[in-house]
Amino acid sequence: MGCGKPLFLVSLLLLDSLHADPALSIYEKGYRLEKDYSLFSIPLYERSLQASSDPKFQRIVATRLYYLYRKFRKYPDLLLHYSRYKSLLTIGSEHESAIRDLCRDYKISSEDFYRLYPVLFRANFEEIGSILEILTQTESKNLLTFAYFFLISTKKLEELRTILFYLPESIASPVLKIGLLVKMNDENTIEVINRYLEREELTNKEKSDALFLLGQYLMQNGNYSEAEKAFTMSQKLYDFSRGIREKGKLLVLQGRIEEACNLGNYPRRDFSESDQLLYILCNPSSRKIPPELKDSVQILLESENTRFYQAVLTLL
Amino acid sequence: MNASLSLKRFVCPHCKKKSRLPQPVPESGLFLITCAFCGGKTLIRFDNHEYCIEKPISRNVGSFSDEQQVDSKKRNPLGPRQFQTKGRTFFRSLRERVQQLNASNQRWDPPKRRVPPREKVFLRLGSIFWICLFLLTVMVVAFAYLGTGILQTKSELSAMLTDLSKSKPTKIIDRNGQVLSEIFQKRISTLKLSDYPEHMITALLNVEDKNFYSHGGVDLKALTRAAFTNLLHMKYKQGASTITQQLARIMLNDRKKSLARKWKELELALALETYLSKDEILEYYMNHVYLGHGAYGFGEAIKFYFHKNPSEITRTEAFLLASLASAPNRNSPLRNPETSRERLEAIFRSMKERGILTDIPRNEINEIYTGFATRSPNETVFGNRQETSPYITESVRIFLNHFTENINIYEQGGFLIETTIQKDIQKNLESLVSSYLQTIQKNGTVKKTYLRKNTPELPREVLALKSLISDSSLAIELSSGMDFSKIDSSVPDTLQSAIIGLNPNTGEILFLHGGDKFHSQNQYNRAIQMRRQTGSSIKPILYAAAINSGVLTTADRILDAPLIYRGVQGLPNWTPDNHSKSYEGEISLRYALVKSKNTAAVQVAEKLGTSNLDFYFSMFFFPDKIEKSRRFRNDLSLALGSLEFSPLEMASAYSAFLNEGKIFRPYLIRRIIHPDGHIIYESGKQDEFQLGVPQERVVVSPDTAEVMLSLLKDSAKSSSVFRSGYRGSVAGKTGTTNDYRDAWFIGLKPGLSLAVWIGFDNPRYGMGPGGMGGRIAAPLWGEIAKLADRELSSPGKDFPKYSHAVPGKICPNLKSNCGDCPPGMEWFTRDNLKLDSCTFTEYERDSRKEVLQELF
Repeated sequence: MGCGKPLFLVSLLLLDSLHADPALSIYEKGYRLEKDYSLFSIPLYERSLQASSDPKFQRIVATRLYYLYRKFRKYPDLLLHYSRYKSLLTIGSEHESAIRDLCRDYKISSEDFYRLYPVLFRANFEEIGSILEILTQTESKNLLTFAYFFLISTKKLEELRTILFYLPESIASPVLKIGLLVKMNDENTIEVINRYLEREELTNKEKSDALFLLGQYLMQNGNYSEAEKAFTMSQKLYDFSRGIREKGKLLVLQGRIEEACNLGNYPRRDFSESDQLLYILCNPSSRKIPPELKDSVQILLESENTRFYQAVLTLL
Repeated sequence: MNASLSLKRFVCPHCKKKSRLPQPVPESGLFLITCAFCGGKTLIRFDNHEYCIEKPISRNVGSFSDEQQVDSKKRNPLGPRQFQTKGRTFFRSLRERVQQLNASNQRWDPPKRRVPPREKVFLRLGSIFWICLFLLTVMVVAFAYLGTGILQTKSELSAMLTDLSKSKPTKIIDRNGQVLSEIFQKRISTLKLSDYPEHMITALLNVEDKNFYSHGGVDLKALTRAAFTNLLHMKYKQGASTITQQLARIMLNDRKKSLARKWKELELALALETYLSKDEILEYYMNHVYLGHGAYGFGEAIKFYFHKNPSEITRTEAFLLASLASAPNRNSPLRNPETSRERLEAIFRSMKERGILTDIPRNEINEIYTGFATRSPNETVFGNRQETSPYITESVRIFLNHFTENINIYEQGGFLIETTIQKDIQKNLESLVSSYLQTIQKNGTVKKTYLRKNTPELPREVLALKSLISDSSLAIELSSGMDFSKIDSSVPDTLQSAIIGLNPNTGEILFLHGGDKFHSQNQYNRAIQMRRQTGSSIKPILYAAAINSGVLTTADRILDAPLIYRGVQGLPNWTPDNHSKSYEGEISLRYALVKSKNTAAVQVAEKLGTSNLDFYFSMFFFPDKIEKSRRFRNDLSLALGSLEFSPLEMASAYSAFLNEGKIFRPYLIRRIIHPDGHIIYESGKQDEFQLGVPQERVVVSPDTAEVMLSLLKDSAKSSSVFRSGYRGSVAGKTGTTNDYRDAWFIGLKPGLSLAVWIGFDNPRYGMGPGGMGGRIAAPLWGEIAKLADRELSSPGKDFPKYSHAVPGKICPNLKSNCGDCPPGMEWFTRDNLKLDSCTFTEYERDSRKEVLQELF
């Protein structure tokens, strides 16, 4: 009689745990983050969508996620998400409107988009010819930029390397090629950048971009002092704030938070997770990253594996 | 002279005849016996059942004739019981007096006499003489005055008794002095005393005046007892008015508590006693005493309360009616059943203690009150009155029921009640609404739809809403709105509408419509008394709260996307959907309100948080804490209109947006003027509709009110207001509840805040998919607005220009339909004109300049 009540409570807890819905729990974490850190709710929604097999729940999360991709102009993700969950999304005719936004933001025509996107979506080595044909015909750097980001998002890096190889420099800037090498962590990256920087006709912006990419590559490979030098040179040549931000991140991943935050006032930059983390960390009122971001950063780390996310996680 | 008691008679020393001795013959003691033949009194001593005549008493002292006894018996409906009681009291008191006399004689020890000086004796005697003379003079003057008064009253008595059966109507007039209706309050009983059953009269006399047949109009004994009781409690606890005095009061029709009125009442009571028989007094009283709900006299009351003939009422029912005479409103079994029942049971207990009843008939009492529970507290004897403004009259009547105790407009009549109503609109309202409701039913827009019962399967939405509420008692309350078992199936269910229009700048009610055809089964004033869920029409309150508190501005964006909230205690999850089941992503606050996005409203409520919600709902609807504790549930479902409000409350809340954020308490009665011309009530003195709100309150700032007005203008444009042909200014919001049970449109136009509700009384019925606020309530709003423009000759008037809100730039490319903003701008409150950086513009700049940033 005396132990009846505790047993009842224990059984209730067990029942509760049986009923616990992990997908919903992850969604709830994401929804809580959405109010103040919308960008960081995206990884959690993605994870919760993968974890659920309930169509009603999937409809809710997929639709919400769709609009978050759109809000943060994550167009490659938006397009892939749409193709995957089209039947579940309750968005009316909003997708057409989203494509219009995409075309406006990338400065491409909708005709070019609708010509390129189907082949880009299927992109394999058989389709490369078609992609090259469209890109060559249009001679549009902007269309290439869209294709570049889409293929990087879909991890079709070899296909992209081939496309860039065949395209003339008037369309495919060498900086894009170097960027791909950095993304692929190619061992020839430094050599290619050095060769590029030896060119005489380069503008300061082009030099700055190359040095920025060099810094990224060095940082990625643990050469922090050289990376810092590269970012400093980059910021001197063209984009001061970009160099400062990257130096800040470099200091954070070395654990030198105070120095990083004393470098300057970082802008919020709603579209970049790493820039937002730096902004939050160096916010004078808190000087720390809220613990509720931990799950989201963990997921980001799993998908992108950057040293900066690793460093942020150690702070949480 | 001793005599044997076996004879049981004695020889009267006055007439020498043998007269009866009292039965049973007393064992011992001294008794004053009256001769049965000559009425002469004789003092007889009894000793061991034998008697001897002590002393014959002179015949003109303390005579008590048999004739008087017989007459008393004949008149007294209480019968022999009371007489026997009096006889016993008489014997006992005499015996006690003699014993006291004997005892005092034994103890009496005469004081030693000290002979005062002759002068002192004369002086003392002189003082006593003068005091006695003074008192005598006062008494003589008072009696002379009283006598003159009685004589004078006699001449007026006939006319007064004739007037008693007449009554002047109380007039209800509109704001321009046009008569709306007249209240003929009196429906007087015209029965003879013999038509009333014996137990009705017995009950009345026992409750109101048990010595009626033995006093002369004033019961001195009762008066002394009441005075003592009231003095003991230092407040008015007990009255001592006899039935004759009460009749005099009814005839005087003056309830002022003054000495002059009391004196006049006394004169009239004594005059009545002098010139009318006891039976006549009782008959007048029983036919004219007010017994509540417009019933005058027991005949009318029996019909009203029990639907019976006088001969059919039971003893318990008779006692209940008798209990009403002293306080008909307070003891009304319809209006205050608990108070009435307590009073009745107290009477029964008293009757039992006095030996008149042997037990309290509890079963019968239960049955009677169960019957009353099904009737409206506001029911009156005038069930089927036909008039142009029945709901106005009924609202006035309800107010008068709660009006100050010193003036009973029901009893008196002749009052003038000035209302705020605009008769020109009011008189056409009923026919307009009736015709409109017929049209939308005939053309199939509204299809009466039987909805499934709430048990055992509750709609998922209800379950989900319940799951949001941790307090289960509240959950039960929430679902009680759909408890079909409480609905009286005998009442035919027709499509109903409730309309109320008020002046936002004053709170004056300009017109109202309480429902389809006012009749005895349909006196429910839906515009004021009915509370229903409001659907989306509550959203402006939420948005106003968000803007006023600075939680959101018109530049803010909300993600219109589906939501899910975990169900608790095994209940389903709550997934608030948009009505269209479609979502549009990031939208502006304006667009969210215009398109009535449910997901946005829930998120606005979330952003506001419980403390802000609590604060603003208290400001708008529940300044009274008790009212709030009864009706307010602080959960997210309130964002979708789960709380229940009356059309009056909604029209009043919206009026803030047209009145610089201020709400004036709504009122219908401007003034009440006494028949003698003086004003006895002016607006603002009382909370007429018992809303528990102050006379005026500021709920939001003036700039918030203007921002809201701008939002509501666009919201109204997307409804079907203009389908009615109305072309004037409008700002408002539609509302539709689950299963199309309620359709709302609350709208503003210059000088008017107008709420329109359409639905069935019985929530078992919905109106089908056509029964949406925007589709049926908004066009009716337009029709009424047209009527108002026509009657007031004020079409084309526009809203005043904003003088508090300020325009500010907003980010481009946002879904926003601002109709009255400068291009590319929005209206802001002065405190919140701070824009976040436009992330869209920033993105465009970044995407051109920093392609590489997207890589890392």
